[in-house]
Amino acid sequence: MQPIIDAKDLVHEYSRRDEEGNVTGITRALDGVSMQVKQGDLIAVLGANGSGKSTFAKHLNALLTPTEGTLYVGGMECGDHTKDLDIRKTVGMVFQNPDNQIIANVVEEDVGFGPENIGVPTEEIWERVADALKTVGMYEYRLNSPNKLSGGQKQRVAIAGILAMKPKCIILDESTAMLDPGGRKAVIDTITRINKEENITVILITHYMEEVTGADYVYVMDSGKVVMEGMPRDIFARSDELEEFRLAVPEAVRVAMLLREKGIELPKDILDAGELVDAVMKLQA
Amino acid sequence: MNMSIRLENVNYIYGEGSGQEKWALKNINLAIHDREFIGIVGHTGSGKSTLTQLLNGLEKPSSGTIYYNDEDIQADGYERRKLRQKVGLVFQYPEHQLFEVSVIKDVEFGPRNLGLSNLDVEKRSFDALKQVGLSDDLLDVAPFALSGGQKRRVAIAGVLAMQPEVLILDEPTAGLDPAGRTEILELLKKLHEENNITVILVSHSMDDVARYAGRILVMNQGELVLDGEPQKVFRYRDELRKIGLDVPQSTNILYELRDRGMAVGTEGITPEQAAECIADSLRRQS
Repeated sequence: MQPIIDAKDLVHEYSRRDEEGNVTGITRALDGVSMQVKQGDLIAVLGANGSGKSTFAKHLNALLTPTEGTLYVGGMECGDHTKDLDIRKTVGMVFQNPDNQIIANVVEEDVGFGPENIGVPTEEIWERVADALKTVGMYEYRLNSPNKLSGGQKQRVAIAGILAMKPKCIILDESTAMLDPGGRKAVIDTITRINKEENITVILITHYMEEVTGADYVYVMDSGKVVMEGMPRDIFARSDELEEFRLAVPEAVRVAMLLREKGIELPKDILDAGELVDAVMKLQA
Repeated sequence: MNMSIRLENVNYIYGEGSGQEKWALKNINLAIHDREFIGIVGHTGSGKSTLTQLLNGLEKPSSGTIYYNDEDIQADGYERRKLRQKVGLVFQYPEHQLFEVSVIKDVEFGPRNLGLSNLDVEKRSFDALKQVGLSDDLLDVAPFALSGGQKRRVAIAGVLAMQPEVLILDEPTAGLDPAGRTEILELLKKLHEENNITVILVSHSMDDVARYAGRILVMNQGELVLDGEPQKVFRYRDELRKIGLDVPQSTNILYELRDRGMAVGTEGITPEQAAECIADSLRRQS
């Protein structure tokens, strides 16, 4: 089966200009990124501020075009702008700030805005809106004003707005960064369920390590390049490298590491609190 | 003189007399002493931001009294302008408020409004940028050209240049990568230890306050529900969970082990302490 995302040697450069508009230099924000994502996978992209992960994400729904390399999204080639609308129907993006993404005065109208724009018949729009709001657990708020919602609820409404366009893939570009722990968990739980139940590909861009333990595969970016990739448990076993790229391991992994340093024999690939507790209980039995 | 902030029976009500009153703060009694490092936690809407804005006189309580060094800050003739200089407030995403053409000019903006000499303004600003660890070659750079973490440090330097006795920061690590988060928290630790500044850190992260604060205030629906040393506050796991908060992840691991029947102490609140508790328990058994 053809991958939903197929990036090969992707390069993105932009020019820096001085006050008069003269080009003073070229910045390489992406430097040879290759990535293949299977339909239905939940992929995490980790990276420090300025590592290029958001620039990469913006290519996936044709907000940016590659300077070099090739990118296919759902089999469509990005870059010549002829397929931009179809690409955006295939890949939806949720951004960081919940307050910048809501445009209507009523929740259900906000969710209906996307499908209306792509020409879905009116009756079907309302069906899609109701389904999408039920999926993200916000149906009971459908007649509310969005500005009374919490940050986490707003992000779930934004996700519903994308679901209503029936995409094959949803990108969350640091969509939990401005939320409190409760809101963050609600968004991650929602997106994980959508991934499992609707078989929608999810690309989760974040620097909260705890959020990626459930991912199928993790990419780590630094200075515009993919510098690590693998299963979450293999990535988190390489804590020295992660630190070098300004990242960290989840707290439970850190506790396990410290225990191993004390000579306690625990598996090297413990991923979360549950696995750590199980391993310690086994030792003491 | 020793700095102190005291709140007595402080209430803050939104929309008073409108029929849609909302109590943002309910009967707060609290004393903050010189050189404390305080963590304020509570979920969105718990009243923690309102509280910080009362502490530096930006908002006025609906009733009750706030004392700074035993002086009522709402009294007639009290110089609240001076108070805002003594109690510096760093808002969420403070880098959105950078506006000058260069880093140094942005930091100088505050002290320049204090009527100091040029030399004093420059010295204070330069010192503040040194304190936050920004290198000299960045002083004349435009703030927008800096990284997220650097911008935030410039914004903090702008408040430090006012030479505050108390520094209040609302979610100073939001949106930063793990290394950036640690850098900001270590900076606060340094300001607290070396410059004797009282630090009040508003945070969503129990892991961060567990590591850095000497005292934690827990807010819920406008009330101060827990107040004490981190170890003590985190003994109330069930109460914290009831109001949508939790103990640090490391502490949760210890509780989980104990619930499964292991004889392990639950007082560890950082990964280092939790590992120590587990290692101790295993050693005792062998």
